[in-house]
Amino acid sequence: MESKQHNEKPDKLDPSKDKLLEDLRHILLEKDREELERLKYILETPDELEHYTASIIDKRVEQRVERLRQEFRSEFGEPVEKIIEQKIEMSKNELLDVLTPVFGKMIRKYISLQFKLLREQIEKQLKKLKNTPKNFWYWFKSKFTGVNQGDLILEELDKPKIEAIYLIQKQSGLLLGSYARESVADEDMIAGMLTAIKAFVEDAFQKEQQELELIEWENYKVLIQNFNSYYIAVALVGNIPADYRIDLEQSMGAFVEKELQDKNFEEVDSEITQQVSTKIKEHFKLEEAND
Amino acid sequence: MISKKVILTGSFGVGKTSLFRRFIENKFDEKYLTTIGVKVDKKVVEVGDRKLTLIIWDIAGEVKQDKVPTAYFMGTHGLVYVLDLTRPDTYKNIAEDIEYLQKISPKSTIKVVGNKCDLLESEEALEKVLAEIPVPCNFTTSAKTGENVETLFAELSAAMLA
Ligand SMILES: Nc1nc2c(ncn2[C@@H]2O[C@H](COP(=O)(O)OP(=O)(O)OP(=O)(O)O)[C@@H](O)[C@H]2O)c(=O)[nH]1
Ligand SMILES: [Mg+2]
Repeated sequence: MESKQHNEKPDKLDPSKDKLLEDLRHILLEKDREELERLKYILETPDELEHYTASIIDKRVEQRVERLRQEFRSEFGEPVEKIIEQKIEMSKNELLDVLTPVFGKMIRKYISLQFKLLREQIEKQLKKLKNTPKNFWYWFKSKFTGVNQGDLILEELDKPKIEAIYLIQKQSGLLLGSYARESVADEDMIAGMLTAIKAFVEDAFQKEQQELELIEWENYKVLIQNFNSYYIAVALVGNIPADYRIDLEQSMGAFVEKELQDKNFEEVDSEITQQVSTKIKEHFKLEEAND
Repeated sequence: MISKKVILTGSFGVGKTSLFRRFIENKFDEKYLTTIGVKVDKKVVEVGDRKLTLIIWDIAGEVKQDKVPTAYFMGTHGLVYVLDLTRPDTYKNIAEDIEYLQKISPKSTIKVVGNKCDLLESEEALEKVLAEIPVPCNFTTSAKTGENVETLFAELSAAMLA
């Protein structure tokens, strides 16, 4: 009983005591409580949390990325680049998904940077290599020959046929003389475009000593023979046997030696162009046994 | 009749193709179709009593001129450097670009052209922009309205024949 009574005592006293304690706690711990609430709020509110931790995490990520960047190349550079190359067709996200579990989130940044650089390079190359000739040839094909598809197939079975010959000043791309089997799109423009493509390809492959000698597009081939200040471009359809090509190249050499020795093309003049055109016609007609 | 090679160069989107089209076909299009590679066209102009064939190369714009294959500039007689009067980025490299072009193509006549002048509301606005461009503009043009386009090519032709 006693114990019970004793036990009851505090029970009875409790409410006021508790209240007192509670008040005291309030007073004493008010600051801490506020702080706690604030921390709790920060922890539970993603935006807040990010705000407070971003700079620290960023810094650490930055440091790790920097370290990875330094070590990565030697450690993983080659395999990663290989994978990137293989997966270049895949979208960026798919690629990152393949790689992320392996290397973790922190190198995402590095990979996307590498990916971007690689893609830029590849795109640059593709743009250089694909588009220019394609656009040109599309135009070339439609405007230049006027030969329909059926005729072309027949011609495939036939001997090669010269469609056109151009003598073009090397650097300026100005037309010095020409011959065309059929009436064509503007020859001045063809000369300029051919020169642009030639310059482009030579530049893209960085082979200054080596000059472009052949452009192929479907049934068309343009043989290019370079001389000092000009070049000759011969557009052909059909297959070109090696001996035919050798003959043609010799014929070009002979033409230059015989007909152009005395020519000074410092200023490109329509009178000169006409003279040269006539000579081309005379000289190469002999070569066109199949025409 | 003699022929001269003219090349249009400058940053992307400044209006090289538009000036080219305005001059050759007297047309203009609001649509922007960036040039890939090179397009060559020609036009016969008269300078006094002489006729001259201009073979004009319209090339893809690059932010800096040393990105353009050097060979394009070889054997060039006239060089038109086009900038966009409304985009400072298109003339921030101009001084070094011009110096570079003079070096690789020392014989050519170079003209600096500020295009899209139709977009500047007033003479004062134009003056203000011109003052900011590090080298003097030889012409201010608009491919849209055609302003000064004929004059540009006429004066360039005359200079190339001189
Ligand atoms: N208002 C105005 N717009 C113009 C003018 N010239 C060109 N534009 C517009 O500017 C945009 C780019 O013009 P383009 O002529 O394609 O530019 P570009 O220099 O050939 O560009 P790239 O081929 O990419 O190097 C197009 O939308 C044109 O319509 C001009 O004088 N005035
Ligand atoms: Mg263009």
